[in-house]
Amino acid sequence: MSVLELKNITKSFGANKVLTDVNMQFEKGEIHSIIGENGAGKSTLMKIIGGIYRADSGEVILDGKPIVMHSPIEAYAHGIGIVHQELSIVGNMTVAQNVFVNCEPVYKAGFINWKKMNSDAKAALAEVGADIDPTEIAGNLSVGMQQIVEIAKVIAKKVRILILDEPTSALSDKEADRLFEILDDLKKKGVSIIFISHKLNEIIRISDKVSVLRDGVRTGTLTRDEMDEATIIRMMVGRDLGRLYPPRASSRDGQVILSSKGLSRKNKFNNIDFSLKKGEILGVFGLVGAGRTEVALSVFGADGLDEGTVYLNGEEISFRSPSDAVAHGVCYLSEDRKISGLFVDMEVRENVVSACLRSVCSRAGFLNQGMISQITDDYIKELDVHPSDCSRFRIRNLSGGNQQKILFAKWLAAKPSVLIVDEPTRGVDVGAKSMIHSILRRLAESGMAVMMISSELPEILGVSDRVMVMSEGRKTAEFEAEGLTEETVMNAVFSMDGGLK
Amino acid sequence: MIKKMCVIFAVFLAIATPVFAGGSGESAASSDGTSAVKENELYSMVVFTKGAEYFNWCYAGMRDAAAILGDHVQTELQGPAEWDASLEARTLEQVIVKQPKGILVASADETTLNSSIGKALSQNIAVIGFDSDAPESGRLSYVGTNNYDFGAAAAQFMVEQIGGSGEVAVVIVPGNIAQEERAAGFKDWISENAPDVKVVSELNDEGDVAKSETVCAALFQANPNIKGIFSTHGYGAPGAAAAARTLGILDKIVIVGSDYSSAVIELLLSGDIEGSVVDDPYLIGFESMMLAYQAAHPTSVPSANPPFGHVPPIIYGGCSVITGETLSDPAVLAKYQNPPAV
Amino acid sequence: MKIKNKTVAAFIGRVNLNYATLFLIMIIIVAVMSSRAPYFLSAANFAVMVNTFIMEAIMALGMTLVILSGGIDLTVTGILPFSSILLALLMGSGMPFMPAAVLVVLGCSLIGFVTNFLRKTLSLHPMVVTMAIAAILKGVNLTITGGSAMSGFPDSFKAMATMTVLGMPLSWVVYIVLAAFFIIMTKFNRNFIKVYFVGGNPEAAKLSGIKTERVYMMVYMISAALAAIAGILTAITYSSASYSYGTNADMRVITTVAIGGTSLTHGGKGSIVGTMLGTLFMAVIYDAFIMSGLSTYYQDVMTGVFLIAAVLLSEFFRYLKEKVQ
Repeated sequence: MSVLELKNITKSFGANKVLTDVNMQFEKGEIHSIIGENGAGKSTLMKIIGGIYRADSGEVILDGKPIVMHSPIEAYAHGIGIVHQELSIVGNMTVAQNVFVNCEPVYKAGFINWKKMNSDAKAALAEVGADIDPTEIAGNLSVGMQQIVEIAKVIAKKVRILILDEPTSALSDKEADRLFEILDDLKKKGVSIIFISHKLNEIIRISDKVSVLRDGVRTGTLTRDEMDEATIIRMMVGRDLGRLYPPRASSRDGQVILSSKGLSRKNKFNNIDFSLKKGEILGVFGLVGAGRTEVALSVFGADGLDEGTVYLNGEEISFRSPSDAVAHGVCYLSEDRKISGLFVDMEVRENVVSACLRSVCSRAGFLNQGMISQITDDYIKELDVHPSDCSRFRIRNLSGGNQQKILFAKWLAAKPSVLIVDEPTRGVDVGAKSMIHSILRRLAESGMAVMMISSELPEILGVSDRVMVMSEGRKTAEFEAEGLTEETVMNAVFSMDGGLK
Repeated sequence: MIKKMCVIFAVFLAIATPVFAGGSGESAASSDGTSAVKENELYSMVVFTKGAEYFNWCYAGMRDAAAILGDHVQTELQGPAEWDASLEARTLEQVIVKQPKGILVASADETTLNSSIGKALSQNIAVIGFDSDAPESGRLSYVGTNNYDFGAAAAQFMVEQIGGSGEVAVVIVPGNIAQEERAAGFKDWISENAPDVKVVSELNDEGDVAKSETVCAALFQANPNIKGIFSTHGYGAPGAAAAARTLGILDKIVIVGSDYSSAVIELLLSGDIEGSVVDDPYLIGFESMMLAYQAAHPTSVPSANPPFGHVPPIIYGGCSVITGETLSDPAVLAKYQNPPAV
Repeated sequence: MKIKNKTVAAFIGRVNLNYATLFLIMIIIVAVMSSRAPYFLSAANFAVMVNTFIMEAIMALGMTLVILSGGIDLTVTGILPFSSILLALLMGSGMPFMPAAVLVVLGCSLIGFVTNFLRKTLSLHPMVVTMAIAAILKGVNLTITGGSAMSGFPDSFKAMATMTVLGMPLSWVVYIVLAAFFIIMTKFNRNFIKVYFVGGNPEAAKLSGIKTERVYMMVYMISAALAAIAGILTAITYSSASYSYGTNADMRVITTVAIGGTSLTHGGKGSIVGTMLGTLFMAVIYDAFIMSGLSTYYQDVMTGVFLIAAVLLSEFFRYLKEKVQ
């Protein structure tokens, strides 16, 4: 008998049918992955299992008995725990406090038993194989460590069914490997794991079973020996994607637009040289914390530089502020679109022109509304944003992939000569991903110099013309992308002998 | 959600009902039909710092006077909670729209309300100033306290208490006209009637109890001959008492305060303060109401302010000294400890 | 869904719920009051009602910008009386009105500049800085005036109190001009649009090449200048200057802006038009309860109740809207 069974689950929000007659079975001691494009209904399905939503019809059957849950607390009582996509770690509290949030061990009088809390936390962390000091302030940990604390927090509640929603999106490969070991371990202890991810390679690597959702319908479940990328993609998108990555640069002899010599910033990066050529995509690879984003921000004028020079079109330059850089045609597309990229409560059209206000204004500073609409509509069409009449929508109401496209539109509207993109496809589904890759290629072909920072090695290898590898604040290697293998790059990452001192 | 909203709106409606159902203006007494012949008249009291106990006493006097005048006389109390002359002027303008027969106004400062008071008079609304005057506004009459006499009453009491000779000091916030007058009355009475008493020092405590304690303690230490201290405002006496207590000289120092508050009442009962000079806000409110009614109903006697009735330009409500002994009468104590509700 | 319902849904989708709620409550109040208080619907009361809230209305325009930028400005409660006192001092020394008024507005904008400068260099929350500046100004005002009102303006100045332009008092004209200016600017002008960007996401605004600090400087200076204008108009209206003017005006102004739908917690949400509607709502409420004949303390309770009701109702409508769509 299955530990957990979903029977004919249907759920709508208003007129929008998110899940239709979904059936699934989860077995004890098994990693069962669920994959699907953004909006396919994965998160909704998990929230139904986790007691956050209730299905309109259908049953959740636990140990053969149908259950009805009204809140996540009831789900916990049934032994079901979710690790959410967004970390719910409270940064200014200790690790132990985070692990036992709202269920702190107390003395009879109601005072917190700190000693027990810390030792229990230590045990819970040990159970997931992590050696973290429970008295450490959680905000001081790396994102990867925080994710592990998050899992410990759920495990500490003695769950039998563990749901992980996109757990690796913020992790470096090394941290992800670590997580998979932990999952494997838990699986051996008899925990059923439901794993949601965008990343095909991960899913294939760790899953015993994979179920594919498309537009709220389960299109199939594959067992370990049936899984392969092409099959899964076909089931996800309902068609063959064809070539996964766009072609490489047609010409490689553009002139150098942006380059640097000996860039250093204390405790962040050291002695970085790079050059960006017109018409070319430079991939910058490294693990999280390698200093890639920091270099980009310093070049862009958002952070300072301790040493080194930046050259624009052969001339020495130092951007005093982001506005200075933008004025010189250097744009930075940020890693986290919600925090530092988009204005989520504002309209699409306002976002599109936010980096080129000057060019859509009369001399007296008045906005040319017609021009703004024209530009917005052009980009919506060019980038195939859905829905196509979203010019007046608020960003908040668009899906992740479309938000990402608007972020591109914003920077394209600024007509830069250099575009730095930081993790351009994080949290984006397969379809939107290849769209973004081809946009990047088109931009390069149109004469822009593109620097693409990414933690996804296949993306780096597939999209770039040249690859620069960084590790612990240093540049460790630079390769031509043609014919480059993952092994070569990973060796370059780990060949470092000393880090930043 | 619907259910929640229903509950919230039920509560809201319950609170809001008086708006939809309540009476317009407070009637002074329940109407039994006998005075139904007379047309209703509204009299408004406009104050600053609405909620101050002093003004509640004034309003209580006004209400009682209105009740004596008849059921047709209705009253209301209006004014901002803040000490803001411009806000008070706005409230006054709003009250004018309601076309009351008369307005009793205590002005937050001497000039800001002038134009609004003028507007009321031009619309035949009788305006009586009380407590805080706006002398150039054209108000028909002013009912309040003669602060010079107030200071003299303090001086007389002080001289009696210290036995007719010695050195005394005055606590004052300079710049405040009422307090300056009290101090002048105090000093003049002493120089005229008690040649052996000398006012040796004037202290500025900025109207703050803690500051008062500091400056008094400094004075007591610098000048051990001080026998008495008079505060021209309500916070000086508690401060002086605290300083004397700290220095262990409570028995040697005569403290005379101004006005009353729960702190002053406590100290009077314990004997730490010998006396406090008080005026009579109830009487001020009562007389103001009477004058407003008089002005709104002219008689055949020629008036100084036509078309209004004949009223005197100024009435002083008088003042008295309360002591621990005065308060030993339970009725008197009850009066001071239970301010009227509005 | 049937076609009829679709049209209804489309209509509801287009209505700004916050505005609709305010209108609804105002209509209820006006209807009830006009049947109960005979003077409520008179022209005289309308004029008084507008006058009652005109100073707050002017300051609310600037406060909207500050709150949109993600900040708050409590200095207005100190700047309003300060500007009236400064005007009295300048005119008392023989300066004619116009240059004195210009000097006062410039001087007060300078206070806004200093406020923002301290906020930036000390990296303190604007609440703390502006409250400190307000306290300093209060002390300065008391020191200059010694606690009593200043009058003795020339007769030509006093005449401005009753002056009308197109049949309206001076303060109304000033408000209409300012409101029109800010509506147009926040809708069409680049520098004012930036306020929304900076308030909505300061980090993104910075990376978009917007000079965020300049935007902050602008909004605090505008807010201070508008408080100064309100102070000058107060001095004109009452032919006096006093430290007591504008006491707690900051809270009334902030409430007005919030009622008008500008978010106090998330910058970049709200509008000048919303604030104007909020101003009207507050003016009606403040006036209605004085007219109502309710006991004076009950008036305060009712004001609070209606403010909460306005917020709750718009939440409720939002819920209905989502349901319908």
